[in-house]
Amino acid sequence: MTVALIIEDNENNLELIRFILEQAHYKTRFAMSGLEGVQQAVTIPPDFIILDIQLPDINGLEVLKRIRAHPVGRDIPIIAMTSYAMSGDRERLLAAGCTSYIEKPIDPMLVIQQIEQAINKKTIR
Amino acid sequence: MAKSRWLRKIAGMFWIHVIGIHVLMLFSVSSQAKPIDFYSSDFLAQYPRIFALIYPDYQFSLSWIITYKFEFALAILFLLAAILLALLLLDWQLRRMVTQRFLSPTFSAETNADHIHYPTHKVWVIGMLFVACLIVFFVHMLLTYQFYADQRYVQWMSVGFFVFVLYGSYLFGNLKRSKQLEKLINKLHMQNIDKNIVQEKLQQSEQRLQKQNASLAHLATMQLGNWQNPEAIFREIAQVSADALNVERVSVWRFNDSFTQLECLGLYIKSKHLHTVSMPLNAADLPEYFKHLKQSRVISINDVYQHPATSEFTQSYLQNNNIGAMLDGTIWLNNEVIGVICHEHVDGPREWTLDEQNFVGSITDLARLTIEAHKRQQLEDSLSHQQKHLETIVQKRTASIENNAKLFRFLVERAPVTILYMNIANEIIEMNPEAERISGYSREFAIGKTYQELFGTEQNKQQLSVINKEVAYGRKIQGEEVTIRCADGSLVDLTISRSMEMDDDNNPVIISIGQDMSKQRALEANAQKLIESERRYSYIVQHAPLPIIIIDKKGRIIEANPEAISDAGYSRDAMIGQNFIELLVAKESRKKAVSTSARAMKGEDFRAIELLLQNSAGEKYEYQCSLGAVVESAGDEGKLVAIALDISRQKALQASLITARESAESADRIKSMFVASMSHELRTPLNSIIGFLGVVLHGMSGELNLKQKDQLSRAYHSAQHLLSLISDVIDISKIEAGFLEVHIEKFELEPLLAEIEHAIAHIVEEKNIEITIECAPNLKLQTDRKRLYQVILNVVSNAVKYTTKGAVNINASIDKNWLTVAVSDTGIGISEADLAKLFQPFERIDSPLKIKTLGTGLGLYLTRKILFQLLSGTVEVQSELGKGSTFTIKLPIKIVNTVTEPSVSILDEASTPASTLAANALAKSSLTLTNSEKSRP
Repeated sequence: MTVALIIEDNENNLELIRFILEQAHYKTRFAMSGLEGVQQAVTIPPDFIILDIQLPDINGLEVLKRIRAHPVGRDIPIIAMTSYAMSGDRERLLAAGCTSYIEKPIDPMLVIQQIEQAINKKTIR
Repeated sequence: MAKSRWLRKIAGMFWIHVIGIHVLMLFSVSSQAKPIDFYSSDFLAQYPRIFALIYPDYQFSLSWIITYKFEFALAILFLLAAILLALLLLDWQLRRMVTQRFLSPTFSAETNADHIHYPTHKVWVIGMLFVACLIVFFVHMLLTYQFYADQRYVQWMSVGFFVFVLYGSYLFGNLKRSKQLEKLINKLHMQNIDKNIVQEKLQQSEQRLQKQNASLAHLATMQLGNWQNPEAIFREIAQVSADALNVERVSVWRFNDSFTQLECLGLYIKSKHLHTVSMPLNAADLPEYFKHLKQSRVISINDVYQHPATSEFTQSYLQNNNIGAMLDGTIWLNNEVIGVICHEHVDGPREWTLDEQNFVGSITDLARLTIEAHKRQQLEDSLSHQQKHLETIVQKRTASIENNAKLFRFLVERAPVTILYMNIANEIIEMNPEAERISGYSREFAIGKTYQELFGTEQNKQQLSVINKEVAYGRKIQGEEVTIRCADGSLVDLTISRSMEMDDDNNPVIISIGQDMSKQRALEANAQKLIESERRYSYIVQHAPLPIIIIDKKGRIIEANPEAISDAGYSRDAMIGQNFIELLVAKESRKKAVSTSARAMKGEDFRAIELLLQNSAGEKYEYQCSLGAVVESAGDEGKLVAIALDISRQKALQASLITARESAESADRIKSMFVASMSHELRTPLNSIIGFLGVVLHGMSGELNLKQKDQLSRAYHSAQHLLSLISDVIDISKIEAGFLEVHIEKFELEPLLAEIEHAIAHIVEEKNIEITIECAPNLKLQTDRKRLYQVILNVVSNAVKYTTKGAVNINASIDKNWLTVAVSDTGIGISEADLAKLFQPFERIDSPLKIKTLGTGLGLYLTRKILFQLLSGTVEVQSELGKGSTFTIKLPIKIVNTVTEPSVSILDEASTPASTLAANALAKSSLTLTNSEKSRP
């Protein structure tokens, strides 16, 4: 069973994405802060990570960089999720090793498609 | 030859007969085959009569002969063989000698008479012996052949005999031929020897001649390069001549002027290789010798003791020097004997050959040439010396004349006055460049014209004729002022001096010198102007609201204007003469002032040098100073002019401005942080609301009834509306604050339009209208993709929104560097009154069709803002009420990033928690707003 790690500080949003993923029969784990997320991703590597960019301690870019810097986290697909970012953020995230990028608000029907695409992209690569 | 051939034939016939008789005899003998009784007494009777004819009475017993007949015959045959051998040896010897003589390479060169001696006696004796033996053998055989028991012996012996005879006669013939040959060779040999002797003599004489010729050539060349030194030539002549003729003593003599004495110019003694001089010879002592000298060119004396010419010489002279022969060549010049070259051979007489005499003649010629050339050389030398002396004198003269002329020409050409030469008729002969310049006439044109013609006017006519008359009378005109007319018609004032002089050929020439007065007048006018300008400037300096001081080279104040005096607080007298740095410059700026003024003195100009100056009370003010050197006239020492501007107040203002700007900048930054945070904080809950509503609406949490679905979808759309409203507001505020970054990327337009079509596809489907896109393929842009997308989407969705039936057409085209996107619809259209309000925020056009419109009311306002402020573009509208509208967007296809303010992204604030940031931002929001309002232009 595919395991997802959701790094998200907002409880509501976390619940939302968890619900959608579980509906699609993914197993989920979560972290409420960036540092916790990094630790989880490295110690018990998930099959993919849903990463919110606005986090209380370290921001999503930093989390991304730290996971990618670790040998375990180098190949895990990471899907960044952010609301209406500044132009240029997308490029910065992709350059730092983000696999895919989803803008909020999420569409429950589309999000699963996007995630699956991202995972496939990674495995093919 | 013919004779010997006949003889040989006869001899041959003789021998043939002999052989025939023998053969016949032998045959007859053998045919008899009857034994003879040798011992019988009548033996003789049976012999041929011939024997009996010789010795008729001879009675003797021949029994021993018969007994030893064979031995005897053999003995004779042996003897014959020995003789033949001897002959053979002789012949061989002779042949060898002849051959050697012939083939010897030294054959022709041999001089001694190494003749071949023909052995006549030996041949004679051997020949006699040979003949004797033959006869004896023949007789013996005649007598005894009958007694041989075996007749074959006889035959063999006969054959041997023949062989001997034949061979012997052959050898004799050979010897005879050899003798003839030998004679011939000897003759040839003698001739050869003679020829060699002649040749040798010829060679010797040739060698001698060659030597003489070489000597002569040597002397001639030596003489050529050595005219100046005749003694050396004479010495060389003596030596070379001695070597060439192989003579012990050679001397060169010369007559004195009166021909009474011969002076020795040089004597060479060959064996000692010595050059010396002999005593002079007097004519009185040797009259005969002198007479001989004057008579012939070469005097050849083979024996001095026999010849009359030398008989007068004292015995001691000849004997002491052991002289045997003399060869004297006399030197002739202009039919007079002037000297003699004397060759004296020692050790006995010598026969002088003709070529030697000729050589001496040539030598004397050479000597003559030498003497002649020397004389000529001396003459030439003295001549050329005189010529050189003359030449230098002439050169000096010429140079001084040339110098004078050059100087004069220079004066005339360069003089800043007009100089004219005229003849007595006042026609111009010559004029200088200054005259050309002032009058404007070229020299070529002016020459030949009269002064009146060229320069005369109605006004000066009278004056000129007076001047001409005066000059013609020989008076000098000095300083007469005349106004003349120039080539271009202008008038020039000249001060003229004129006089008549005589030239080199004593022709009268009028020289007219004129000075242009206009220049002087201009100078005067200039001076007046200068005075005026000086007055003006001094007024400026006196009344300028800036302190101005003038400083000399040593830094002392020369002048200070009232403003400077009042600023400094000293009296004028107290300032003048003081060092300005010590007096006025504060300690902090002194170093700078010293270096700056030093550099200014060297010609550098300084503007806006900031110096701290102090007044008499010690108060310090900041001044901005200009420093520059002013050179008033050549040779004058430089002066510095310093102009100062009090900038202390300005500085203070500047400082306050800087602080103001800094605070404004920080306020702006806080505002931007606030905006960035707000955009996140406001959206997060909304995102969650929209997300969950979406989940529920999609029936993921269980089925909904129709009413629930309708109500929830209303909530969903309201939330969506709120989100876009917030986004628009935040965008607008960002643009107005200038914080929205233009993110430039390269992309194609076609996919972007496709995306837009896709985004509005569901609305289009709902409304059942058609959408068409016209776009050139490969349309490449370099601008902010996201903003362009936003702008076009906004316009297109508006068009779709207000269109109920028909079509929306998007047309993209490029004109030069501008992209034009025209969006036209067949919608409700806009009235002219509404067009003005169209781009205002929160203005909604009243729809006559009562179309329910969704939207923030900010769409077009934002569109125009983005286009205008971020993409450097414009948006225009053309519309007709009820028929439709066309929105035309124009923007450059390529923009360069001109935004200097960095955009604030929350990604930059890695360590600051977003919530804290937002809280801070909120706390400062009131301040931020006021500040940003103030700083906005």
